[in-house]
Amino acid sequence: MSRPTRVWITVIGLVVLLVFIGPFIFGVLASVPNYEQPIVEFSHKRHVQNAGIDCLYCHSGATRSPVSGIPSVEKCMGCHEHVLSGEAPIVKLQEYWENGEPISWTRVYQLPRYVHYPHHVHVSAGLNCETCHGNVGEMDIVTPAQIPNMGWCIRCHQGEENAVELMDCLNCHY
Amino acid sequence: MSEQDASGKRRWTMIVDLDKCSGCGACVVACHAENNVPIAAEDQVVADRSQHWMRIERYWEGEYPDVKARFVPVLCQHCGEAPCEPVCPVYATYHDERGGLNAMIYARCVGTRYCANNCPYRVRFFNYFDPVFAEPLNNQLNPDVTVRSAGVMEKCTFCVQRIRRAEHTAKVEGRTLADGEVLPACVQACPTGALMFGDRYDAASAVAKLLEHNGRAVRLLETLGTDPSIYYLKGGTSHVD
Repeated sequence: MSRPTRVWITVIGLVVLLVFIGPFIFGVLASVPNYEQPIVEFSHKRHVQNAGIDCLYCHSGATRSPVSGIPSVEKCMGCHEHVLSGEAPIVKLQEYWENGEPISWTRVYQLPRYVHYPHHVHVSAGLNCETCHGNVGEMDIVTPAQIPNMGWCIRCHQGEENAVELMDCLNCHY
Repeated sequence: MSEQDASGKRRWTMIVDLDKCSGCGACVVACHAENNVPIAAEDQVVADRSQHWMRIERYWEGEYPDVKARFVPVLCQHCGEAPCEPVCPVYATYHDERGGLNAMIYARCVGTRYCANNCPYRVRFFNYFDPVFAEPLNNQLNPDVTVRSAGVMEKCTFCVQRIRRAEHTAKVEGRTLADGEVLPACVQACPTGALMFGDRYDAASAVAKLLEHNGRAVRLLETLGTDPSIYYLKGGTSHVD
């Protein structure tokens, strides 16, 4: 085979590769969820390990409500009005505060549709936050410890004493 | 009517006092707001695609000048022997043994519409299209209830989200559910107190007490043997029987 022919075959091969395989690679890359938060510097690890703050201080709904809740900007400012108030990420927070805007945090745990999960019942049944959410205290940027799908719910529910009641469709789906 | 159940099961029951119903429609509105029920446009209503989990049926009674308007609120009767349940090929609708509810699991529904066709009360509604909640209605959607998508059947749930909420609160507080703690949106909204809700298996509940030896209690199309959970207290001259 002459040299120009080989070059052409290589070029055509590359084009085919780009046209047919490229979209696949792009698709895979695009579907990787991005858990970057609006305040990138926010670190759970720093709040839990350095400051020693309990999960429930910020996510206070977990013991008494179906949703654990995201702290309000007001709650953040409760500490950060004084703590590290001059630093860059906190200045960003103060901007939200002064503009009276909520921070649109990126959702990390997304339940499928038609499912309702009550936090308070699970916490009162003796579950720790870490059981489902992983060791958030070790994470700078929180990523899901598991995908909260039905199989994962059932893994606990089927072993319980009142499994029949807990595995009933209408228990969670409405 | 004094059925007792030792296994801790409930039979959620509603009583509609027809003498008290003024046909105002507050229950219908409350139901729409609570359960994210889509509002059908005029052309859809003409095509028999309106959606009201609860409706007020109006009847005229008597001859002029002695004419009376009678109102019958009709919602899912949560039948003990529901005709809609055995016809579902995917078990999307089934009987909830725990509360005696006629359960509708949206995620399972494949939209055969057999259940609606088999329902003698015509209280099941099919989503022919994805519901549209135009601005600013989208801001009042209830987060405790999923908005159903196209191809899914829906109907009154007895506000199961409120039942679950009350059950969960009771569980967290380490007590049993008290009578009157669960209040569906329609019952809560009724200005004349025509609607009442409770557990009929609990002999001490207000519902059970009212139904005991009550000569006015009737159920819709009772001859079909559907064993509905909704009791209508008919007035002296009411047409319902």
